[in-house]
Amino acid sequence: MEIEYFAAGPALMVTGEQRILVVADIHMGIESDLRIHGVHLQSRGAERTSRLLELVKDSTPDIILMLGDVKHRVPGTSWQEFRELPSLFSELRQHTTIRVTPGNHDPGIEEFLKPEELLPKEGSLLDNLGVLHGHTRPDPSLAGHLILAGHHHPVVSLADEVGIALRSPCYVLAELRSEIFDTPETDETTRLLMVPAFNEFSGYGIEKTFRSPFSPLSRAVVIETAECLLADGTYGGDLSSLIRYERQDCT
Amino acid sequence: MSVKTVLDPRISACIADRGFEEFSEVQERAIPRVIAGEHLLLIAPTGTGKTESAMIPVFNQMLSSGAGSGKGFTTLYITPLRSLNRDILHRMEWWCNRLGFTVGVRHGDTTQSERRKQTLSPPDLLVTTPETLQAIYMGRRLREHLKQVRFVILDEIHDLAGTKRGAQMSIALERLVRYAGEFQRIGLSATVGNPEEVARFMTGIRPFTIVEVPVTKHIAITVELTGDRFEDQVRLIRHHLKEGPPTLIFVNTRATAESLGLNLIKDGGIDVHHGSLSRDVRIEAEERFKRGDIRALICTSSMELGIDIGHVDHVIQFGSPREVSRLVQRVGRAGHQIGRVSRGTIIASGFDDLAESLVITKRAIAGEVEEVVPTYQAGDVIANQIAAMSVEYGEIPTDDIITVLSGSAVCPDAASIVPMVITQLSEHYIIRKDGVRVITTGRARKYLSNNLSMIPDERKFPIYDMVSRRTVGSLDESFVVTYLHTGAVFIARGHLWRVLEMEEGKITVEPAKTAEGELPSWEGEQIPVPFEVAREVGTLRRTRLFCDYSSDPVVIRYAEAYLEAVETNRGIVPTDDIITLEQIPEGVVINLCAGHQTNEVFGRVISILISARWGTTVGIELDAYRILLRLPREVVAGDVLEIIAGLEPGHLRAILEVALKRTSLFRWKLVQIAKKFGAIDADADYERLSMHRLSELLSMPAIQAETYRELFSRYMDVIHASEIVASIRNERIQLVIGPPSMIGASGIFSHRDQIPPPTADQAVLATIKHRLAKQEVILACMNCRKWKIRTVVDRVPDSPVCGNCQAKLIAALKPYEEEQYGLANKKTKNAQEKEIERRLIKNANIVLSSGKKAVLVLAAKGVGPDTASRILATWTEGDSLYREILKAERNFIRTHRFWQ
Repeated sequence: MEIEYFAAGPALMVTGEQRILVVADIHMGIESDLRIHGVHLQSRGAERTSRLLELVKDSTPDIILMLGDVKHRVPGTSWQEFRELPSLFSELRQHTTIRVTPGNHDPGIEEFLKPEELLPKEGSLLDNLGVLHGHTRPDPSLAGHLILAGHHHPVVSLADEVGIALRSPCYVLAELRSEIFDTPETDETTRLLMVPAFNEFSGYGIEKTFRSPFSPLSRAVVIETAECLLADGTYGGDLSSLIRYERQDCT
Repeated sequence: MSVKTVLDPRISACIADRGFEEFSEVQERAIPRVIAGEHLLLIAPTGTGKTESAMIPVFNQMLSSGAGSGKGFTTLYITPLRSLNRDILHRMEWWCNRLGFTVGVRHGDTTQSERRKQTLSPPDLLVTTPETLQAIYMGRRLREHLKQVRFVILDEIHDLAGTKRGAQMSIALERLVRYAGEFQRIGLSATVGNPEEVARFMTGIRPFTIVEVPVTKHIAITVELTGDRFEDQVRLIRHHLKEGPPTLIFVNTRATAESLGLNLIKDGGIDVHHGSLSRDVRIEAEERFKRGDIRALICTSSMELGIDIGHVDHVIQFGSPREVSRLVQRVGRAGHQIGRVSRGTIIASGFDDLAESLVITKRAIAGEVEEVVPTYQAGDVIANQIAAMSVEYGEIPTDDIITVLSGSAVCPDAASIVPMVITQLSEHYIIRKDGVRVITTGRARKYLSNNLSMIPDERKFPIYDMVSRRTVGSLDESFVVTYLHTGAVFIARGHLWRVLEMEEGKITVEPAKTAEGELPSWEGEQIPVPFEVAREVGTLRRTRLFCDYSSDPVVIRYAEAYLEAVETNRGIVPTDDIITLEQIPEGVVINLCAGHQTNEVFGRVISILISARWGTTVGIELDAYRILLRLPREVVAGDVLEIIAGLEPGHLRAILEVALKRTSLFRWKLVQIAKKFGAIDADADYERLSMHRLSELLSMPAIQAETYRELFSRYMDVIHASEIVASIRNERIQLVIGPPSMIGASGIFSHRDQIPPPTADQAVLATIKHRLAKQEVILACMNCRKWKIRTVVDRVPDSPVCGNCQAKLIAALKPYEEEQYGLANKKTKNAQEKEIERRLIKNANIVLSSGKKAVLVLAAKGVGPDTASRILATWTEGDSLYREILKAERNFIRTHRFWQ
């Protein structure tokens, strides 16, 4: 199995038996919700759709896997989503096969998808990879596999001697404690790859995520051995050193 | 002919009642002009009867034109402050009661019932603020009353003219013309350097008259020197207070006001007055001073405007006033009786403070007050007023908007900016574009009622102490975004704090014990020193003609001795024609006498160029006379000199434009301006968005253009910086490297920011350098096989040697490879162990030939001897070497990491 990173997504291509292009948290329709919260912008749905289509056309995957939160409004579906989601899916279908692991923002997504395009929300295996959105406890069948999940929108701050110089979407690769599975079916290590959000407005600092974890997956991460990768796959450092309180004094 | 003869007898009777024997010079000159119907700008010191100069003739005209029918507001009296409104109301009530006019005040504090009354029966004279004028337009019935306006008095216009509030008011007056027809405009101002421009600000395209009574004829200011210690300074003030007369003590920051108060209040008869105190406390202090219960008041700029506090005999300015206009304004509060001299004393400590005070005093007496430059073509103000007009009229042709704006002086080229602003507003659903008209939307009213004021709302950030687990105070947004970063140390509440985290609108800190140098203190209302003042300080350092500036031998001797001491220690005195660079452990100090806003340009441009060439973050701290660049060791004074010498005057702005986008100052301004364009609600929780991305998306043409316009007019003086660069190029200004000096080391480094490296790549490189330097390694001897130590890459010598056998055949292992050393040294080895031994020997051979560089490469993630020798074979150094290492790590992650 080989993994390739596309910083322009952010997205990644997992090549095993099949070539799977993975994206997470597209949040189509986010603008109508931002408006409710006081930020008034034109919809960027068309830009998001074409960004994803470019990736698909360039990388020609067998499957496009969307790790949940494809839509944004909960509950219900906004007018913006009715306008933008059908064309997103129909354009994608012309080039590849769609698979969606529904997320907490996805109630109502069934209307836009064919039944076979929808994967179980508690997680399932796809070409030997565990895939789920990440707001629920993973299905026991995922134990012992590499799990890909969205939901956490990881962003890392890289600091240098003077102060924070860069904030960038990132991946977190970590071992998961086995307690997360009710009945672990294997003794093999389970690993998690947290995938950054495709939506350009979304981002949540990993220092916050892991200092006060808010999901079953983030609570089960073994921080000591976890690592952080930047959007283009560059090794960004150990998670524990990136979420430390104090800047190291350079003497 | 006396003015009295042209006045209505009822007015003359009032004047007699008031006990006026004769008119003051101001009144003699101003009253006939107003009666003649001219637009008048009246420039005179506060308390010389300016208000009456305007209002006596206005009342006269109101009487003769038969105003007072209760049909609407005949006269608007606009002041920048509610507290002034209160004062004016009291004074006007006396006149109005006798003349049979009604008077009312309307501003944020006015009660609902009072407002309702005004809507039903409008007073003839309305005292109000610029923001409330905006609100009046929004009320359908209320704005009908504006149709009667014949006179508008703009009080303390110098305070508004330079600001966005002022620009908004100027446009509002043009909107009023559309409503009420032309009316007479009377502006009351303190001394300014550019009366004509301020008059145009008031009248737009109309003719005007200026009556000026210079305050500078009537002031006497001395500069006194005191020691650096706060106790000495307090003692000197106490000495002055003993003389007894009513005294105002002006300080530059609230913090100073508090600490002086702490020391002096116990003496009795003294109180403190500043903007952070509640309104009631301030009013009480004013009243007590007026009644004579206290004889001194410690105050900040809160006391500059003409609030009536009775007789003041002496003004003490604590520390340099920084601007000539500020000094004139403050000293002008003393000795208000006609013909009396205002007496002021500046108490200076230290060389910078003293030299600056001397220069400002001389300029004040010569009447060289700073200009007040109006805010021209401000996109957000224009956006705000377009939205206001669309609400006012429901729909309005674009051409009409342009006509209204063009009447004002603040939109000299309305036609060029209006289309861009309209497009931007419609993207945020504030208005709809419909061909040649704009139409209001459902959002517009709400937007408008939240954006009546052009004063940006400052959020407060709580400071949370991790150690005591409680909130210890709060910080202003502007301070947070311009000065703070993770790890920064600052002063609040008299303690030092280090920032641990800045998240979710909260600053988490821990107490800090030590800090290098002077620190930003959040209370510091930063008053920039103007270019001209800083240049003259440079001239004074060159000529050393201190006797032209002071007759006090203590002052002259101190200043001369200070500069001699610099030279005795082999330092070079930086002047107006010498810029010196000094190498210090933290970096390089550039001594440049050019004021805050010009030094800001220099500091930033140089850091940007350094950051681009060396790929490192550069910290800047600066004041009016020096710039400290915090630099990594490899960048030295010679490099900085080379960069300054290579600057082109015409390139500064372009360099800044590119780099500013990445600074926190730019992002903060952008969000503020986006709010005024309606893209973000005033109360929006925009932290829901990841800010680093929001700012990219908000880079929409009109919002971005306004952000740049504001930064370049308020914070950075590119024009003067270009002049300096031109002078360096034609060698009128010399550039020299000197040893560290007293001049370079002194001063308050209060202005911090960082210029991040130009690309994300550089930040990633900085991170990997730091990470590898701190990476643990095991050095193990492959010769004697009996020696190993654990250390970090940073501490490895250039060519590692075995501590046991002195051989240089040392393998560099990662901590988790430690056990391999034992396996390789076993007497009998299986095939796998033999392979391990082969790899360790290869590893040691690489270290033997490449030394520490090999150790560094081998410390990287997933880099074994094979990859390491490939990287080392590229013969790269520095950043390229780290790029090779990054590439290898990336490859390792791509191919190996996910194999199960």
